[in-house]
Amino acid sequence: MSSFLPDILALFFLFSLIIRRLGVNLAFQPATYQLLTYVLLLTIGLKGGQALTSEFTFSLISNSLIVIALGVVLTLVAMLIIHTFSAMNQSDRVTLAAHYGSVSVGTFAVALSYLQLKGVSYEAALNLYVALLELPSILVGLWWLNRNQSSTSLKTIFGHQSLMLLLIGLVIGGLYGDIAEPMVKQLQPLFAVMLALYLIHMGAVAGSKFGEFGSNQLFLICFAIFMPLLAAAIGLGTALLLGLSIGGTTLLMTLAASASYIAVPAVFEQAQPNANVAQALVASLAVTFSFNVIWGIPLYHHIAGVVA
Amino acid sequence: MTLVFSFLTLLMLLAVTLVAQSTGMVVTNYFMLIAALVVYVGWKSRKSVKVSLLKRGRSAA
Repeated sequence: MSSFLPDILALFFLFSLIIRRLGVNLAFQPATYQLLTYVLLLTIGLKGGQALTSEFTFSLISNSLIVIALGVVLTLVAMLIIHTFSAMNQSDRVTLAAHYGSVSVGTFAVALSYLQLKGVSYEAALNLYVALLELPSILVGLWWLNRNQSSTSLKTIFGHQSLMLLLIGLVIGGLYGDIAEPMVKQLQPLFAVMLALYLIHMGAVAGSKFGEFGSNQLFLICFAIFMPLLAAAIGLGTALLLGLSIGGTTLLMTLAASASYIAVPAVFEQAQPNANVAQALVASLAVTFSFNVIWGIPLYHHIAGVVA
Repeated sequence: MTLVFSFLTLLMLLAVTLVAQSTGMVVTNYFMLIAALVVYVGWKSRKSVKVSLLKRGRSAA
């Protein structure tokens, strides 16, 4: 029976989404949601920082450049697909593409937990790649839209909470290494519970956004399923190039397949007030996040197991 | 073009599901997603065909 069911974490998300559609809202207050994301981001950052210190090699620098290139390629591919198959204006097109070139830390956290439940190990560098993959699409998107205008301020690009919290965790974990171990050990049991609560919140938010697609509904829903599959394939190719393990390949495929719903909307709302951020947010959160959590991650893990 | 893209999406999803199934994965959930998407795309394309026929009828009149 259990083989027919989605992953245990996906069920928290799925039930919350269905219940929201039935009219009961399980979403948390903004401050509670913020606390959940703080714990998740700091735990990922601290663990990544600790592991990076112990596993640091010079190949990490070249691998990081390849991962940054992956972020740029994903944004350009998304732009090409949207340009070919939809009638969106340039501003909306680039905004949507930037969402899909960036990553979702929430989806990454679900994939981490999925691998932990299965007892699959992964390279610590993936925690660094999450932070690295947040930015290229934002830079490419803003450059594309502002080619003939003054540049956007660095604060707009870098000054968002998720990236800063990840970096704080990475730096503290990296500096203190084993000294930070007791703190990480205390955060670790909380991680699964916080993630379950986070998914209940996200299910409720995704459920409330299903009615907000607007006139591009068919294209957005199809794009939000097509793009993760294509991006996961590109992520698989990159993982093979980097020589990652099955766990690492699963995580890089998941990262490539995920779409941002925190950092990119925040930056584009400030930098491009005319862009339709809402429709990109609905596609990335309501469809792509749901798709990745329920169907994507087990699929990526299976394919990584076959190929890697 | 949107309809062409939706058929491409269905084809891609089906291809990935069949590959996963042939390599030993339980894919019941994936076929359920494909079925739901087929119904949705069919419903949407029927609606858009109706609208274009109505427009054509009006312009002919």
